[in-house]
Amino acid sequence: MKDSFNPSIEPPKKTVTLVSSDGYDFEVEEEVALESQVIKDGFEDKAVDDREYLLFNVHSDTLELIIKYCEKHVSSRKSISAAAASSSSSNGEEALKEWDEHFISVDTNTLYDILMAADYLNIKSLLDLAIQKVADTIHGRSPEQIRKKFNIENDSIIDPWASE
Amino acid sequence: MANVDLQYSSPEMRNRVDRISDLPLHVLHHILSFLPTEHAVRTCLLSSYWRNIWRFVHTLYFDESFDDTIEEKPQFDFTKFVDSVLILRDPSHLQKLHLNLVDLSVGESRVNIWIRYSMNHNVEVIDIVNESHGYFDLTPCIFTCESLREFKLNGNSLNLSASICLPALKVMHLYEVCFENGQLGEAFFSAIPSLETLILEDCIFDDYDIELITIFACQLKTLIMNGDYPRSVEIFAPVLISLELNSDDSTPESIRFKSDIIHLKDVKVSLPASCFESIIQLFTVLKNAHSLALRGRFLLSFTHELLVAPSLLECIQASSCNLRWLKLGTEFSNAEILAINTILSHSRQVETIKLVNEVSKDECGTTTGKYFQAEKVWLKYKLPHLKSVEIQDFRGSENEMKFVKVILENAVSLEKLVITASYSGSETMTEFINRKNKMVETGKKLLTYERASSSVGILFV
Repeated sequence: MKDSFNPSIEPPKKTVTLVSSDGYDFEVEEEVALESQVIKDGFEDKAVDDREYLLFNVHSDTLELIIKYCEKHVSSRKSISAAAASSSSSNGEEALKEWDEHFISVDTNTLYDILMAADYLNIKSLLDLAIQKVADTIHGRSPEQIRKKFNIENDSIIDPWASE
Repeated sequence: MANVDLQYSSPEMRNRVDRISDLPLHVLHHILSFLPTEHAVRTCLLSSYWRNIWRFVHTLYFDESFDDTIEEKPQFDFTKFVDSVLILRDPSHLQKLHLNLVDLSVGESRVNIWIRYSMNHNVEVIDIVNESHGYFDLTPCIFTCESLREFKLNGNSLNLSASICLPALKVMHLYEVCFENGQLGEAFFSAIPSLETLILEDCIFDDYDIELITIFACQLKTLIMNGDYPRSVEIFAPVLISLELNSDDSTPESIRFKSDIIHLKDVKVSLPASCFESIIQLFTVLKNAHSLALRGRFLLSFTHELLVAPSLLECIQASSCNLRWLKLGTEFSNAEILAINTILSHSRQVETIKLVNEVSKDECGTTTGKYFQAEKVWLKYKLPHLKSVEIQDFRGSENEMKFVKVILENAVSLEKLVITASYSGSETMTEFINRKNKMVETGKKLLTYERASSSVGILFV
């Protein structure tokens, strides 16, 4: 079996255009766009000169972040496998984890935007990252604290556990 | 759409809107699946909309030690809670069951019912932690779960007498699991043909009562054994990529590889060299390794074997053409310095070398008798690929200094030299500071040495 990774042969960079909900064009490398399972699924069927995607649900501010995330993950995946081919002394995975942690430390609204976009574009690792962040916020808080944190209005008339 | 526009209209507006309840339901189910089930269930109190969302979680995480400091509940009835959740949850797909048991007051039959429930719902991951002091009889039917992909067990025994069939199992992680004789053998592994990762950590092989375990796994890619060992281990794993074998106290008498391991890249072995038939055999098996970590008097055995079997050198030369990263434990004695020297001169591709000073801390400072005449054993050779050298627990002994000197003189493309001294529990803080100061002094001396590489950075930690 041959090693599938070969750093010396790199095909010329192809690009894809992503259009945000507010009409901005983002030109990104093909492999970056393919981080999205939704884009990947229909990718081969689309004509090469028609690789433009209208993302009605993703605002340009969010799209910029999403692209930043995908670019980082594509590039560090490459450097990790390159490091694994030559030596194992790389701590690339840990560094990436730290980067992720920093990336997702955003205000609640941006977090939702990222979460929705990751769900819409089906980028599993980013979705998990954002969901973990929301779950961490819920974890250990009382219902009243959660309501306050997330602006949830309590419309329950009966507390189901109050009678016990 | 108008609603969305409104939300985006001003930041203040956005901050006051309940956006979490607007998330798609499957995302909310996903969020709650990331929480301990207690917390997930409690979201039913948030509002009428949230009352039933928790029922669709695909991961159940039950922790008997769950300490609810937020709610003032008289007593948390763990059994009742788990039973209720299993009855009330949506009976669709269950992905993961995690059980953390503190004492076995629940009763093993109840636990086994929960496990059977999860099996009936095609569970993919089972993770059971038993923190009590006793073992419980885990239902043997767990070993016939066809959907199981990952199995983790912590602190229990395994009842492997019944039939085993785990066609989907890829990961098995056993921590502090107690084994009986003959349990881990060819028959067991042939019933889990897809196994790719096997981790045995601090497992209990009852003080050598267990003669032999045979790891016979054709698909195995990662094997980690830490802690205790049975008397002997046989490994048949032809497609293994990563191998880690560490022991603390118990040392196996023999570890034998029953197959060639062509794709092996990553090797960390911290065992006395005596448990391998010979260093030649070890190097033959590890011939394609990219990284290698060997500790525990390996270098001394190497020297001894070199005396009786000079062909070891050819073996090293042949097997180390892929080696890029090397970590060795050493006491920096003359014999060991000679061995390091020999290995390095035959492994020209090595880019990173780490040496861990294994002189026991109590002996610190009284070891001068051990070191002398280090220059005599050094051969002159260039190290064209060496980029990084690290010495852990540097003591500043003469041989260490000489080693550094030779490295600096011969490694033409060295980029980094890191020297660390760590604080050990047995010394007082002042002793440590003194040692550290001494190291800085030594460091200044090091800086005056001649260097073959112009771009080398020297770092003291």
